[in-house]
Amino acid sequence: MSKLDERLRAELRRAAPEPQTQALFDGLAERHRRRRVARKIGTVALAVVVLAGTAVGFVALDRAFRGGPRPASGTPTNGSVIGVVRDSMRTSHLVLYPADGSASVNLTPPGLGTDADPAASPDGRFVAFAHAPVSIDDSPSTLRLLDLTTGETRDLMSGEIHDPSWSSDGAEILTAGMIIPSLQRYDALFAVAADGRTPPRQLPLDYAGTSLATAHPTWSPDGAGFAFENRTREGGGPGVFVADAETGAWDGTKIVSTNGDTPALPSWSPDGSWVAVVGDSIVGSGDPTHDIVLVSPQSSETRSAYGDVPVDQRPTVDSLGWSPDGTALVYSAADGKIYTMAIGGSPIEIGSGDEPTWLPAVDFTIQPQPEPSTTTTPEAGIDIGLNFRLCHVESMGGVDLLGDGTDGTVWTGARVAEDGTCPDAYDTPYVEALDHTGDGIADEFDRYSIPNCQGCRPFGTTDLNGDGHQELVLLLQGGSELQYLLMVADIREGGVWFGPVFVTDPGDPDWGFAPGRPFTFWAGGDENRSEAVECVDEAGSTTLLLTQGRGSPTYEAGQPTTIHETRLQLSAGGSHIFVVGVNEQSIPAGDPIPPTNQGPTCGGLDFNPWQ
Amino acid sequence: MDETTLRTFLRESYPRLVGAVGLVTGSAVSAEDAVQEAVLRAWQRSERGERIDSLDGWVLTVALNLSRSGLRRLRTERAARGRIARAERTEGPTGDRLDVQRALAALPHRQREAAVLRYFLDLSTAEIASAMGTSEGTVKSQLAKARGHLAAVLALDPDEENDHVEA
Repeated sequence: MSKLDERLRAELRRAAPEPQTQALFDGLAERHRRRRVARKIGTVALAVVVLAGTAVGFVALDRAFRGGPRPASGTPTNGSVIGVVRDSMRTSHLVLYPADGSASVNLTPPGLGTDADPAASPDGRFVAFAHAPVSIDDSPSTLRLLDLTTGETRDLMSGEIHDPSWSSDGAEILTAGMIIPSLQRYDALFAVAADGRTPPRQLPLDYAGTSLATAHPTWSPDGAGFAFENRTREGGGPGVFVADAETGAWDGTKIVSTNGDTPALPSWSPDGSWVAVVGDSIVGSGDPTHDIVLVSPQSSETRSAYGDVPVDQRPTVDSLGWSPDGTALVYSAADGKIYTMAIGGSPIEIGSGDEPTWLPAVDFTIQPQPEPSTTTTPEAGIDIGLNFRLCHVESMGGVDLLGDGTDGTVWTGARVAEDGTCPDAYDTPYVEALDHTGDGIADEFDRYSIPNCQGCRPFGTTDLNGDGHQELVLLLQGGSELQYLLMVADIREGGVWFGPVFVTDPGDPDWGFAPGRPFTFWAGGDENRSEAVECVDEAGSTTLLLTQGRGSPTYEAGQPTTIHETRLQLSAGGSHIFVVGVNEQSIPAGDPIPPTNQGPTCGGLDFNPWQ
Repeated sequence: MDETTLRTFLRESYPRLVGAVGLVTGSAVSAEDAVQEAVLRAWQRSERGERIDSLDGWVLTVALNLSRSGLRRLRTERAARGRIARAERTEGPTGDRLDVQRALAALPHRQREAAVLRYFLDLSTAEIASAMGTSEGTVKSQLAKARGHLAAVLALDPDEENDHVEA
């Protein structure tokens, strides 16, 4: 090493920033926990869709609140615990931890989806939980009901729902979900009839446009109110609030406010005396996830749920609930374990898992999930006629990209790895394949590689330039903002060319349409940005109108929102798309960000994720 | 990734990585954002059952990628999820520290990354190539250019310099 190298080392070390690491773990743990919730909340590809109609529809039909559930009579005996075990590949399933200490058994099949947030009914017969299919990470979750006496399931409500909890009489399930008014999205609370006979109804919670996320609702046992976790635009961090069930009124006062902490995960005790939350407390640990606090909703009295357990020996809690008899808590922690703990006692580990719920003792045999049969797969992936097999395949038929009347097919998928196995679905390039002859065998592939698939799949076809040749729309990634790619097929030099449409010079590069690049566009948004896709008829030609709204990325007060419109038209051959006009304006800070994604669709395709 | 692993990483590796990314980006706050985001992503991956052989290397690579691509979108998403934004630190660098940062800032991005990974993190050429996603030959040439530029700008004694760039 030369002296110059040594000098450079010394200079750089002197100049480097020195970050603070105090409480860093806890901050990251909190963010990690929030992110898990936020992922359920924030990566929705579809808005809440209720089996009996749209969310807006049933809200309009049934705004009047019918009163909460009635208190249960008698005190149940504690039984087994149900939790969530996470598999690889982003799937999870429900597991029963028997009260007798025997080995845990699966209640839902592993590897077939994401089963999360289980909540046991008061009589112990049913478990409500959030279920999402395995294929797409950002798929919206469904409120699913598992009958423990039969092992059968049925869906009560689809959409991005999470954190169900039961009314004390077992008649209704309170759950959080999402609705999207003008893209100012927020979570709402829904009461869902457990028997499925009446449509879900939105609880009259007045957000006044301030809410970012609502989670973990929990009924008061008498049904007069409900506690929930909420984050607001202005308030920033989360808080636990109580709202009146009749009016939805909540004055913004957190039921726990100790040392400026961030209490979370409320759970109302069966007798109504306490709301348990995770948060800082009278012990003043300064660590919001190292204590479980019981708060009296009547007197605001607080006490720690722990007995003589040193603060540094209390697990970092990420899910919390009560025992059926109200004498103990069950919770999971960042160490991946589930614990039970008598109030004023010490935690007792019952197994590995997450998001536990405690069943009452039942007098029937709980049906386990049959163990899957062990079958060997000789070759991974499927053969669609290419010289390699495809894994994680999504396909769409009825495609006619050449306009010759062929009933063709397109596929997206990942090439099988060199060792013959399927690669990780989320960390591998994807290819697109096309059957343009209608024989079900792929003829072309791989003109445009999707770096990694976050819900990518064939989305639909349209004909923007009206030439009779369909254009293929691929969904590149899901989430609150969906990204699409436009692809075409054409006869070139005697063969079929299959690839993306390219942006023609000069494009609109500052807004995502750089010349020479494949044409991709976005739809959706969040509370600070939005993208809308419409097709409008201008002078006899179809124009793709892409409207993008951008609030201040730093959320600075008073910063206006920029609204930018880009008008594009597809070339005659369909190989290129060119910008025919742009328009830009500002709107005052705080105004809802247009567009509302309610404009004309493109040949029947509606790119808006909030439908 | 268990709690012990993460706490050890935060105590022993996090400051070094933030320092390195901070030298590359010129912003301590952006560096912390990038490294923390990389840590969270590693955490999520480990929960999906994915194995990360070298947490330091993985976090460094991802954090540098994030700093290259910009964190605007990331910040927007994070703010949407209600995280309270930290205030940008008001104190700025002064004196010699400012000179070094200016010298680094004047380097092309790839040279700056190579120099920081070599002289701040003491990575080998192979490790730098892996973190930057480039070849060892490219790293050597970028390092040679960065070294000469830094020596000139910082007015280091040319007699101290030799022509050797260690591998």
